[in-house]
Order: sequence, then structure tokens, then C-alpha cells
Amino acid sequence: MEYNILNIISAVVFLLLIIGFVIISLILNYHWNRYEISIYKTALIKKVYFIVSSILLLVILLLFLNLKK
Amino acid sequence: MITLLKDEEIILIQRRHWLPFLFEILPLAILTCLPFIFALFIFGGYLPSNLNNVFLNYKNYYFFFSFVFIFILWIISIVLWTNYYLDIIIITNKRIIDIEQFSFFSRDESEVRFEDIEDVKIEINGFWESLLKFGNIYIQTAAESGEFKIKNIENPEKIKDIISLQKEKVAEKKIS
Repeated sequence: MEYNILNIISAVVFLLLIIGFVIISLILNYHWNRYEISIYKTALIKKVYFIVSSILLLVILLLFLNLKK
Repeated sequence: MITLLKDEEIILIQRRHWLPFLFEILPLAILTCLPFIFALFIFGGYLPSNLNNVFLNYKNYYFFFSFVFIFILWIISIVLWTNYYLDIIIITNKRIIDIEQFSFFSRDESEVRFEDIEDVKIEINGFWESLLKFGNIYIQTAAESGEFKIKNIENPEKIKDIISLQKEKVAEKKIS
């Protein structure tokens, strides 16, 4: 029962995290594209942001899948 | 992107100094380490065995929520960095443009033309500002806006010189 509640909370948190990430990424992307001064620097920022975020999200996903076991 | 006027050329693009940004980001970096330090303490066998067994049952949840926490800190850091990155001052041969990014959708863009500048003053206050060469620039203008303030800018002396030189050039052009 306790584990079920924790699993539900984890699933909700994971879902909210994905939704939040998509929204924030869209807003950041808009700001970087609209107000950038250097195209190359902005491209580098985007790469770093999406690579680090993807790695962290992958780790979170693996940990989330591990909860179900 | 800045739209330049006719015959306008960019002389200098200067960002704010990184130190105020570092002070913003440092607490987040410390917070990122906390889940790992707690993990060492909780799962490293420093607790009594009965308490240790209870925590071990929730190990997966601990790491899941820790990484969620780290991910949120990462996003906050990127947002703070974006605010810092988009905060700039642009000096062209016609005007000074000061762009201040406060947060998402909160942005202040002000400009002053060289012919409106009456006086330029710099302010370097404190140990770190003197050591790392950054400070504020105050530009007194003849325009309605009065004083134009640029905060925490790198090399204020160099910028003041550029502004004074450019102001002179514009004045000479006007006379000739």
C-alpha cells in the first residue's frame, strides 16, 4: 500500500517534470532565438542544454522504471 | 537581435561581470551536492542497523527524487544563465543600448544617443569590484529620461573612454 502511494507520487512527479521541461525548453528556445547576439554561442548553449537535460532525464527515467520492480 | 539604424556600426558588445552571476549560481551548486552527501551518510553505514534497514527499503525512491531535485536545479541554473547571457550593453557609433533581462518575458531595453549625453560617471565600490574591475556607469543625459544607469559592467573605465571618444566624434561631425 505504502509503495503503491509512493509509486503514484513518483509517476505524477515524473509526468509533471516532463511537461515542465517541454514548456521551459520552448520558452528558453524562444528567448535564445529572439534575443541572441552570437549565433554560434547560442547553438553551443542549445547543444549543452539538450545534452545535459537528456542525460539527466534518462537517469530519472531509468530510476523511475527501477521503482516498479 | 538588435536592428541597427542606417550607417550604424557596432563598436563594442559588453556583458555584465560574471561575479554577481556566480553568487546567484553558487547556492544551487552547493544544493546539487547535498543529495549525494546525504546518501553517503544514510547508506554508508553510519546509521544504526535497524534505521539503516528502513532507509535501504526506500533507496530507489531516494535516488529518484534526488535526481528530480538535481534536474530542477539544472533548469533553474539555465534560466539564471539565460538572464545573465541576454543582459548586455551595445555601443555603436550612434548610441548606447542597454538590455536588461530580468526574467522570462521581463526585459528592459533602453538607449541613449551620443548627442544627448552630458556627463559620464563610473562607480567602483568594494573590494571585489576593484580587484576584478567591474562597476556601474552613470550617464547623465539631456533627454527626458535623465540618468542612464548600467550596472555591474566589466571594464567601466574602458567603456567610459569609448563613450567619451565617441561623444567627441559625434560632436565634431555635427559641427563640421
